[in-house]
Amino acid sequence: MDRTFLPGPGSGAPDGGVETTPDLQRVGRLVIWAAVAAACAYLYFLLIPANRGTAWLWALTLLAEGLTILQALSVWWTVLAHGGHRDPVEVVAWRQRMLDGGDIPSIDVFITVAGEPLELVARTALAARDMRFPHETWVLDDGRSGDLLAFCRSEKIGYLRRPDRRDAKAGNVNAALQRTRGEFVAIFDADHVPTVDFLVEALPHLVDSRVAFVQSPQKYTNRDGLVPLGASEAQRIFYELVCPGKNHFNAAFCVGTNVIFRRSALADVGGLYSESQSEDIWTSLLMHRRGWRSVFVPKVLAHGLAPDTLRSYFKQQFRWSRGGFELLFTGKLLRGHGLSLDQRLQYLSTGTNYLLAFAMLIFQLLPAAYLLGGWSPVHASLSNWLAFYLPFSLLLLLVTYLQAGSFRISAIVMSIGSAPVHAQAALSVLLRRRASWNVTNASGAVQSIELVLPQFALLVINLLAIVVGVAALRAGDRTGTFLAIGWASLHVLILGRVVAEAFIDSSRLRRTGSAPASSLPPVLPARDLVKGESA
Amino acid sequence: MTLTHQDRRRVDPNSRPEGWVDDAGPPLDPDSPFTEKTAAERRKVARHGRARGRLRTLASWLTAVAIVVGAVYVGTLLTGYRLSSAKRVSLGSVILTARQIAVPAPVDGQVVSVSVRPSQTVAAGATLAVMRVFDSRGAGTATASNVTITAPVSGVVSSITTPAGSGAQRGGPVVQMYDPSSQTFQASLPTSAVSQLKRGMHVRLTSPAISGWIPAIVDHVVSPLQQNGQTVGGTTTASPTTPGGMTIVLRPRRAGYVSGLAPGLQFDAIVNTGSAPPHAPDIVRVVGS
Repeated sequence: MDRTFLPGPGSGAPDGGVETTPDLQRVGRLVIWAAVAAACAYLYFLLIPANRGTAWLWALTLLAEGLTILQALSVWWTVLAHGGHRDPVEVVAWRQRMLDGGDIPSIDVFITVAGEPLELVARTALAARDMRFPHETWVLDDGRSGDLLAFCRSEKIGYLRRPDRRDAKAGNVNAALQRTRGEFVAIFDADHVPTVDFLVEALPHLVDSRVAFVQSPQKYTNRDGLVPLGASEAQRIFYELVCPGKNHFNAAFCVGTNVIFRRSALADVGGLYSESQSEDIWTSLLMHRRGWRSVFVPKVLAHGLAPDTLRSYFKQQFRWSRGGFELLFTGKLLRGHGLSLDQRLQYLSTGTNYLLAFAMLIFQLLPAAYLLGGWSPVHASLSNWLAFYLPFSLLLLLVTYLQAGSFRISAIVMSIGSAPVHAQAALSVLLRRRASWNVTNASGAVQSIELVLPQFALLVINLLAIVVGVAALRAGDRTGTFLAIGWASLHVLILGRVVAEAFIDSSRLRRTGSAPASSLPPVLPARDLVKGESA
Repeated sequence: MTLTHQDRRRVDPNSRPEGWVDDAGPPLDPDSPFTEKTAAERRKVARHGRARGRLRTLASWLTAVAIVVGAVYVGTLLTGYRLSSAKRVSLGSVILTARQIAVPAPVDGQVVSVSVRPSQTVAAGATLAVMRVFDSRGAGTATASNVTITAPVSGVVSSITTPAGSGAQRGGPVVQMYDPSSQTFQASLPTSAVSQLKRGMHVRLTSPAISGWIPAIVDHVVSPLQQNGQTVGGTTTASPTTPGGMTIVLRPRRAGYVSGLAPGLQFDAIVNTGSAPPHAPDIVRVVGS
């Protein structure tokens, strides 16, 4: 239910804005304050010495709850900061001048390709070529495909190929920067199809010469299957709610696609940052440190493909969480120069967001600790504990629901299922290991249990806890045991769904012999902004 | 990692290195050794990767199986423990009770001397007291002889019933003693608790006075008819403290566990109702019925 991001003609407000209705915002604030109060009360309850149970388990639970509350607070803080704003006057004015035939600066459009199928790249390239405002389109092909070269030649699209393949996408873009001259550079992934008005919408924001880049959201069009649904939903919340708030703090960061850079800003930081796999967010950090500004445009200006197998989703999550942890542990966010306090906290929140994985892992082990070992983090009467915990968790859920506008189970399942992957990323950063997450070889052999071993182990532990708990029901403390069995059953359901997805993927691979046919992103019809109707 | 831009490699956006393929350059040479090497390299990587991948898949499956087996093993252990713990019933307080042994006078006579004191440990056969016995066999002549009273078993003297100088009748008690190694645990329980117990069930006894615990076995109930015998230590079982209750007797597994303890010590008893041997009778039943 896309109440805010409706691409295509005739969608709501003429500028497709993302503001929520004022009434909902007010209700949201009240509930948020209530949730903050409930969270403080629950923390206080946990900290009372009399309520402490087994010491180490209590400490772990406190850590997990603390992380959850911290992350919730940072999201609410960011979301509430968005006051809703129209495009500034200068932006509108410059856009109007350009549309009326005024001078349009030189623009290069890069499409980074690394072995994606030809029809996918062709769609993106054609859509990029056909965008409004004169520009030069370049396909940067690290996949070295002769077919793609022929296609580009026949369609009059630029084709660039570099002699080496160092530094992955960052190296690709930096190499292309040496071959081109446009004053502005737009970058798209191979699977992100821009709308025809991308440049018209995004470029005018660069009228302020301090703006280094303009970022627009990633929007996924494929929605069939647990993985794409869950991935899309998580993205929607991030781009609809969190990013507009980041704008307010000048902390909007680049996500690597659907972005337009000012070339002088890129030159100032030496090109895209190439010492990390997460070149996008590190480049943003560098630019912010150097005093540049960034703008997030909350309009859907490109359509992409969500990962549709568990493997590709985990790979993506590993990359993103590794970037977040790199920022957290090695980014010198608190000590380094050049950032405002708000910016530091915003970048920190990207890292702490992935720390939630550890909280989730702790929660998944709590019922087993109680049912198998008899350890409990809290020694209080059940009614006492519920009096503090119920309001806290219900209000937390309510706030999340109000903000997200919907309650997609697939998103919850996917975020819980990817917790071990995030944890592995944290370890790889802390232990300075190589940044890769490989479970199969290059030829893509059938993968099943390898993908989800940690989830499988957690599933078995929770199942075991249920079995032992049912046996123990005859010996005292029935309510505590019932509750723990209930939680363990929930975990079994969620983890079971994730493990099942791994097997579903592998059986699909075996049947079709290739990755499942993804729906290619649509090329949307042009939308004439001047006249406010479809062309 | 410092992030000053001076440290980093600078990419000059306006330079143009040599030998690149672009739109305006020469057509791609399919016979270029550069292209060949890349394709062959790719094939080699794929071959290596396949073997490694299969090994990794096998390792993952083995790990998954190991997890399941481990879980089943642990689960069986824990389930058994939990189920048996459900059968543990607390019996409350029991008292270490010794049976009083009254050492009798063998004949009528007078106690001349008593060679033991209360609380003194005596070995079996040790002299407890000496009696003077008048043998009135012949008319007019009274011959006195001494009779030694010895301890029937090893034990501890609890009291002197007939002090030196007093007369004792044949069969009457001279010295009271008890055998610590034959002590038992006794308690008065309501009938509902007693009816759960079977002979042979295992009991675990703990007390603040001792470290560790003493294993014992449910032995029998004391019927009201039997309750004329006096016991040393604790409450006498002449009248059960709980109306309608019965007194149960728990026998320690080994006499050595209690032979060093004084009667009257209080213990907490927990019986495992699942530990009765097969065909064990309820202790409330009379044997043979």
